[in-house]
Amino acid sequence: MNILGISALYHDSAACLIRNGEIIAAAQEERFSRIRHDRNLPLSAIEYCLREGKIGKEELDCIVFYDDPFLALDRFCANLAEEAPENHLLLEKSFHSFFGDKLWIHEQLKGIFGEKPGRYGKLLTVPHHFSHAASAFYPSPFEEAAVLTVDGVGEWATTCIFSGEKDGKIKLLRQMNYPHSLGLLYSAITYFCGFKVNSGEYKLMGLAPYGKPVYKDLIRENLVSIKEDGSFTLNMEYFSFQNSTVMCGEKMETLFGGKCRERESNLTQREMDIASSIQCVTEEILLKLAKTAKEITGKKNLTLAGGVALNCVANGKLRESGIFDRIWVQPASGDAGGALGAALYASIHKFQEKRVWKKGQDAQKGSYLGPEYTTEEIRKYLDKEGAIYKVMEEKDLLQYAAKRLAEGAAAGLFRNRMEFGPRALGARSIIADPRRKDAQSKVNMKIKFRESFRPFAPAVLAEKVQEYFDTNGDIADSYMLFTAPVAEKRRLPFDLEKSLSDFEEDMLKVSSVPRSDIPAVTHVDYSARIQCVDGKWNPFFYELLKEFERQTSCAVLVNTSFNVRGEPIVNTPEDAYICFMTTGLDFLIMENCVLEKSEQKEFTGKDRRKQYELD
Amino acid sequence: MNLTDQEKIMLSSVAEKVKKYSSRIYPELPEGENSSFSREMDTDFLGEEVCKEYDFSTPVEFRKRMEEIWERRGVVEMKSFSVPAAVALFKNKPENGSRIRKSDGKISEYIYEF
Repeated sequence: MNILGISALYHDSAACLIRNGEIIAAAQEERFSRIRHDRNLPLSAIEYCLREGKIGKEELDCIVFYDDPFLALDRFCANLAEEAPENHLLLEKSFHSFFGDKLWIHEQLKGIFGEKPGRYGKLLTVPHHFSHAASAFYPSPFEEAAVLTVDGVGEWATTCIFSGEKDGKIKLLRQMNYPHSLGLLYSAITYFCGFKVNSGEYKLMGLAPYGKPVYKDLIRENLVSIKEDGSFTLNMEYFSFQNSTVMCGEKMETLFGGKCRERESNLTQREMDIASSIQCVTEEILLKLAKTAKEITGKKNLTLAGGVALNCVANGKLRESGIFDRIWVQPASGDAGGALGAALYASIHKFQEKRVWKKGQDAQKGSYLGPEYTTEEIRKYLDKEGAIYKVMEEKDLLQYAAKRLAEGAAAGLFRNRMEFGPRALGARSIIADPRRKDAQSKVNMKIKFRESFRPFAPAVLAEKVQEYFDTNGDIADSYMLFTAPVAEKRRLPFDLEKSLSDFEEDMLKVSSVPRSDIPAVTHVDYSARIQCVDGKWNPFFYELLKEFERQTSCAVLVNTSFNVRGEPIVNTPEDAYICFMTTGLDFLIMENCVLEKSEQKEFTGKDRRKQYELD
Repeated sequence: MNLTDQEKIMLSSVAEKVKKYSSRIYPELPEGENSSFSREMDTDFLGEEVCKEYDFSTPVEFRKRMEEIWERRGVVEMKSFSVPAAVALFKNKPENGSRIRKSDGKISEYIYEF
């Protein structure tokens, strides 16, 4: 069967095609539309999935949506009633998106697929957290597992524990409902600290190691009441997301002793401490939930999905805790991954297809599930642009690229199928030498134009990971979803408190102080968000790491997403070329083509950086 | 299409009525002090088979589906929403030929989109 999964109309729209249970293609709409977190119906992503699957829309058997709009409307109506008579803002905010958009998903899809969407003839829906759970369990390398899903909110559910069984079925065992939501709590604090909701959560996590958890008890005593089993309730007096256009208001300001931080203003010790505190609370809740999941499922392994599962620091703590033998996190854990989960859930539960599962292997294909371009297609584009480039044999290209990186050059790497999910894994990446003291500030400030405090992730040869990081034995993560400490022998003395004081909280200066012999990928608490590269799904990236190691004795590269701040990750050769030409990148690898910035003519095209809103 | 004053009044007055007469609008938290997991889950709201066909073409069909959920949830007062919701819904139905509604695609920077 060909089943198309769709997530849309909230944020991070995406499409996914599965065939007889195997993932064929998946992509986020933002990569095509160039609108970050695009919420529209994923028309381009659907078109791509069908093209990749070499089928026409008439050959689709079924289309599945990742959310139940009826149940979501129930929550909206209940919210209206709960907030009455002060519900005018809520009505204004959400009326159209429900009555003019989400509830008409079946009619909107008729605009693409005609009167009958797929041979089955009717659109199917799978509840939001079931979609997340399916995206976590089915592609995982585990025959059976506990499944934990945690996000902002789906229809009603905000946190669920499932059991993924040997027969391929998923059973819901526990649920927490709106408004009690860990995702919304984290988002409210993200908002309070002056970052954008729905995208700035990652920055808050990156900021946390700069602070101390001095507000942890304040948060636990006032904002969230946590039970021993990991369930919790929010104190809604402090939150305004139920009936307002902002996440929190004056009461939160009183609690934290001052106004919300204004966007783009200087970060202070207060925001760092709040970030540290909410990170601690998040970890406490997730650890307790994991213990409960273990108790009630009796499973040895855990799978995770939902936006909160992208908190790789908390994931690292979960792994370190040893509650479960192994943990697998869906790389597209946000709403985009719901498209994948909805399709897989329908395949198994509705159509009784068998789960595609091989012992010890995940079925995510390295998450390289998006479009790719041949060298010929790239050459055609570059010739049209008048770009100056060389075409190299792969062996020469590896040697050349490794040499340039070792000289301190930063490269755009555009090879293989694009990644599905928010992390760049070597197919649409910016890479650099992690040993250089200036690499973090160079890539942050001159290439990505983003905040100086934000750390970079290391891509490391899988077989060498323990030489660089204390990974507690589990080295299987290829998706950059766990943090682990940099190996003690590689660390340099670093006093964060003193640095913050010496440099008057100037984050650029603080982050420039080396903390290990791979400083560009060592955060201020010595942690790193690791991608283990084993070469199965991206052999070029693996070989590049090997060649870099051969030339430098270092088996690690900086790996960050190929984009500028606020821009979706590059998708096409055009996106990559423009990003290369309008940033401080030194060279660009696109399949077998290599471009050096110093050899290019002046760029006269449109500098797209101006079209992207800061995230 | 924007919300008209009449629609606002209809939905708001139903919301007030539901709040007044319903003792339980949100799904119940458990009694007791040891857990805040809800007594009610998606499988209670939708039935054991949660993968559903999604289709309706008349207000009656739409109302039937919503009322099923409210009955399952045991909040029959919520049924008062079914008429104004159906009116608002069908007034905003996308027409043939312009079914796909494209917005600017952007999400709010101040509030979680739900």
